[in-house]
Amino acid sequence: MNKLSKKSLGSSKKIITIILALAAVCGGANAQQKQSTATRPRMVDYGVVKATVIGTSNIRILYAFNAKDLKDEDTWIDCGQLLTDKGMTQYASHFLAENDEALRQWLKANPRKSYYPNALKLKGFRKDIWSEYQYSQIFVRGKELTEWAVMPAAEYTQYRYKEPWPSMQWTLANEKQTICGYQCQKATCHWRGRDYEAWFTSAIPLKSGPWKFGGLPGLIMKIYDTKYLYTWEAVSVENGSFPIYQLEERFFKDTDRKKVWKMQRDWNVKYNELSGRMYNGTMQIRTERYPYDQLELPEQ
Amino acid sequence: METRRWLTFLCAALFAAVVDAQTTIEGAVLDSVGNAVDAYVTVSPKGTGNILSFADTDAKGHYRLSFTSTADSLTVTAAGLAIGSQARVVANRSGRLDFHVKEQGMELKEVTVKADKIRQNGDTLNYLVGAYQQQGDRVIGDVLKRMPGIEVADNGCINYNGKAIKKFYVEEMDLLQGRYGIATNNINASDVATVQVLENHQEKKMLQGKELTDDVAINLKLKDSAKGTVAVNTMLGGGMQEAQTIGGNPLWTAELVGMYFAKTRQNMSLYKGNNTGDDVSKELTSHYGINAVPLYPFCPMGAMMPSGSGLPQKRTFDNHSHVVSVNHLEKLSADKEMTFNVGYHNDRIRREGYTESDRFLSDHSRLLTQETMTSKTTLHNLSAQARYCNNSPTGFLADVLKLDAGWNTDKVDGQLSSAQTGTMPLNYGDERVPQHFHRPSLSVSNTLNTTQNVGKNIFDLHFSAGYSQRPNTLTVGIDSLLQGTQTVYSQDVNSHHIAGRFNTSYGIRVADHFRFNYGISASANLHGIVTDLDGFTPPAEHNQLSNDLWYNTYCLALGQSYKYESPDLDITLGLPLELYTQTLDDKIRKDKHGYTHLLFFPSLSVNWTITRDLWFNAGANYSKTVGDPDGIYSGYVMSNYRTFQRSYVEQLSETKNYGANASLRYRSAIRALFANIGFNYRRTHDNQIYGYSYEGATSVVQAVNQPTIASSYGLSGEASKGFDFLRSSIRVFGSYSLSESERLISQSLYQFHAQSLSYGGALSFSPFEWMGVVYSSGFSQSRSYTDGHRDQSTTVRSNTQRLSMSVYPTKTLTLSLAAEDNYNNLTAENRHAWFGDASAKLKLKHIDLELQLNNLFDQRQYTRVSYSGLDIYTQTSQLRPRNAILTVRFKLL
Repeated sequence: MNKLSKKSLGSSKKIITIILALAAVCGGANAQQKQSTATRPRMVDYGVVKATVIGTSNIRILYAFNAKDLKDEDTWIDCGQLLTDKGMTQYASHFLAENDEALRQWLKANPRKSYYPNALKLKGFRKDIWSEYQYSQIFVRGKELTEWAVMPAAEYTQYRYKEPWPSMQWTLANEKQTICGYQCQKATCHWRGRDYEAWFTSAIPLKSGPWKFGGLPGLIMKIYDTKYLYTWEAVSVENGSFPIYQLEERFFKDTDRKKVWKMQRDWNVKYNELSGRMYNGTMQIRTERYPYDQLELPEQ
Repeated sequence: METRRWLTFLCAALFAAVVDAQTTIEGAVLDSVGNAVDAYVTVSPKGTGNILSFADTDAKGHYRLSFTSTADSLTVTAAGLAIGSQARVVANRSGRLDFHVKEQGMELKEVTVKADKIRQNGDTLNYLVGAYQQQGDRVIGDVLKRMPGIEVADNGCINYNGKAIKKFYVEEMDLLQGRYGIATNNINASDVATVQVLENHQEKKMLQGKELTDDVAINLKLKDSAKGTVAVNTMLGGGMQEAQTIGGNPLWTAELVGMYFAKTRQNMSLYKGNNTGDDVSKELTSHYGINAVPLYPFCPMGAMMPSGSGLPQKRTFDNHSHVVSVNHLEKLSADKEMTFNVGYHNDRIRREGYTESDRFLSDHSRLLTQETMTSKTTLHNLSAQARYCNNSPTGFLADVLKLDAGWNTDKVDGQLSSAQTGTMPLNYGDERVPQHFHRPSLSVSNTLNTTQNVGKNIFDLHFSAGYSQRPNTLTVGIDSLLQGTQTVYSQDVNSHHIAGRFNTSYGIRVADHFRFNYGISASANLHGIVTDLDGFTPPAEHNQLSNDLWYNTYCLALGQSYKYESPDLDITLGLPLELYTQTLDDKIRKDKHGYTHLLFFPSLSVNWTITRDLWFNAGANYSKTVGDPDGIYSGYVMSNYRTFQRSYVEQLSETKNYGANASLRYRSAIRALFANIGFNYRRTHDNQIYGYSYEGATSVVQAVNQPTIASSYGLSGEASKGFDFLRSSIRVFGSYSLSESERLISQSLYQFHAQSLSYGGALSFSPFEWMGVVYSSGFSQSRSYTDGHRDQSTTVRSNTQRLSMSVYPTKTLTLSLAAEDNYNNLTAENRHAWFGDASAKLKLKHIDLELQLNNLFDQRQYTRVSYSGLDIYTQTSQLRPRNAILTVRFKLL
């Protein structure tokens, strides 16, 4: 009897360990979502309404960003889109672009309304949460990159900075695989504190990719860091006529990369304090912080 | 010491070898006039595609590549978005390599992996067009046919899981008002992002979420690139054929299609014409109506035409067709829209055929006729429609004004020989029979529908009224070739129809689960008809050859239906009562009389949602109708040159109808599996029967007061499934029907039985990236007989099989080959009629070329044998001979 209960105690311990391990894995998986608790900004606060068309792209590549299931948009943090015209490329959120277009149509249909709807067509995993990888737009012109960084709701100023491009040194490998119907070759690099593996295709002669990545002899179809915190994977290649919008400049203040990085990190980690969120029913400001692994780390 | 020297030498040699393996290639990438181009250059060992090294061009277009490789040959590629890529194979040694490139737009291979092929979102199924599109597919109709659950019939009608669709939208707007063939045959597949199937579709916004329907609609969601731009596509083609039996040289075909789809305005306008056997008028067919009052001025006559071959129409159609259609939709506000649709069809259709019939007269004699006919039909049909609709969340109003006019003529030239066989053989001789049928028609109608909320309840009003006219003439000459006599028959019919229909219904919600509907409906149909027959010698007992009468019917009905509604189960009991009045004012017999009856049409239906993907429904109904508009003519009318009919009966006809049906439907978007099975039963009791008697080849038909019963049973089912494996899909279908009725021939009554069975399937798959295969097969078997003569009946079996294969040697070239076998077990010779067709499509930068080779085996004739009871018919049709057509398609805008 005694023996038996010891045995069962042992097995319950095992089960608890397994559960804890699973919980840790799940928790880890959640931490990998790389989304803060910061509320997304209102569309009227970052210059969507009077955005101008600065070019037209004949192609559009869509990327799933941190997808749990590549076939289900609701599990993606974002869907990014890459557009190009006359030597310029723009990487921006496709989910937001669809929402922006819906707002423009709404404005056309309701010219006399004094208010704007805040969200018409938002999609994705936790769609009311801000992420810098969704709300920043990356323009590359020649050897120069400009990031237009839109901050969460509580920060009313948006920022813009320039840096040289491309800034990664690639090593080509012999491995191949098919991604989104295209034969891709592997390349690796170490960039801003992390190791990356990228898969590019020479069938699309565009030295670009999602976010700031590029510089390979062909389009990057998939890229991830070797800890698998951040992943972009192409899900669609289309021909067509796609306008490239630039947000209204007056909302953006020019600054440098380090300041924007710090702000983005702070908004992710300390959103409660910075936005003055209080505990329910009290006047006390919340102080919980959130662990955050930023994509680009300050160079050592 | 010696050893050390050797070692040093070896090291030096190895180093030299390594240095040797380093290759440097440099040069420039320049455009045609020598300017630098923004590009990059890559190098890979020949045949591997593994890039070893790459370099950008500088401001002067120069590049320099240094790398190490043991390969003998290398592929050096200059690439850039503006120039595409240009590859050169060179030996692995250092040197200079310049590229002279042309600027060119880049067209990428389109791929989407972000979603399943079919995604379900509530009552909406989204089919991704890209997932079903194959290289040879040009328009959206080509892709629709591949989507599991969706079926496109030969006439263009779309069914979803066995149900005809009730609405067809492009970007949520009903531009074409049911003529959706215009959309499916002309909108480019590459312009459509998704095809949405809307189940339980409720058109009226105010009833959405309140009143469920069983209706299915289809909506095409266009890609952004196809919206807001004017597109004009053109096609021109010409060709030759081997002989002139059906169709004539030169063959020509032309198309001009303009499209515009924007948020507040849509337009599709087109011209299509050809003499290649392509029936473009199908695109003008409306597959769902506007619920207008039906207009049908009586015209109890027609020309005898060569009968159809039973083959696909394209094989026998000898035409000169011109079709123009203009469709415009203007959205006045978010809820209000105006739609205009105008269609015109002009055609000259020639048919040629030979028919042998062997008909039962009595147990001892049969009637044999042989007839050779050629016909020419000239058509001028115009239809125009204007619709205003206000569909808001608070109310619905739609008004449609419709006009149809036709100026059509049939001219038939035939030769008839007939004889009676058996105990008293008789030869009726050879006759030449020219027929001329002039059949103009005109109709105008207006239909109004409005639905309003009255408190919690719903009030619906529907009113439709119209007028139609047919002043028609059928002239027939019969030249007896043996006796040298000639007879000319001429039948004039001038017919008018005035119709009005008015419905209201008021819905009351009682408790949570009950809805009671009450309504009053009224309808009136006034038919005025004047007929006059010349040349016919009637039997002595009835010698009246003209009619002048008004036949009017009036209905006043109280509608009532009681419905139980719950999320899974709906039960509806309908108990309408109708006061039916019919008057006949015969001006020739100077007789005016009327009848009034109280009629009752109960019905019961049950809809049960068993699971999210499985439904059952069943229904039963009874109805009684009185009066038969065919039984009003006291004077003879020539129905056709072989049938003279006097159908007047003193007693009013009465028909009782009993019906029942049940069906089970399944659909799963995730499994891409669709299936349905249905059963139906029908029984009718009539108090009158039509009797046939023959005088030579001419039959005389009279209605006789004698009760008769007819019944029929039918069972049918189909299933389709799509697989990701080899991008394949499969469809199977089957049906069985049985019917029993009575026939009165030469005053003897015969019990008539008919049964038919058909089944078949289709399989489509892509064994390789560069190949698509479609195989389909259909089998049918039918048999009919009269009691006591079962052993004399023969089973007719026919089978059609078609195998088509498309091969894509390059991204721009599609080669297709199809073979088709049509089998009939009773045909004396050529039981298997084989057809072969081939085509090649080449997509160039600005134009698409297509070469079609039709009827490769050059089949010239096709004979079909059919049985009906104790009658045997053998029909031979002429076919369009082997022909070749070359077409060019290009975009004007």
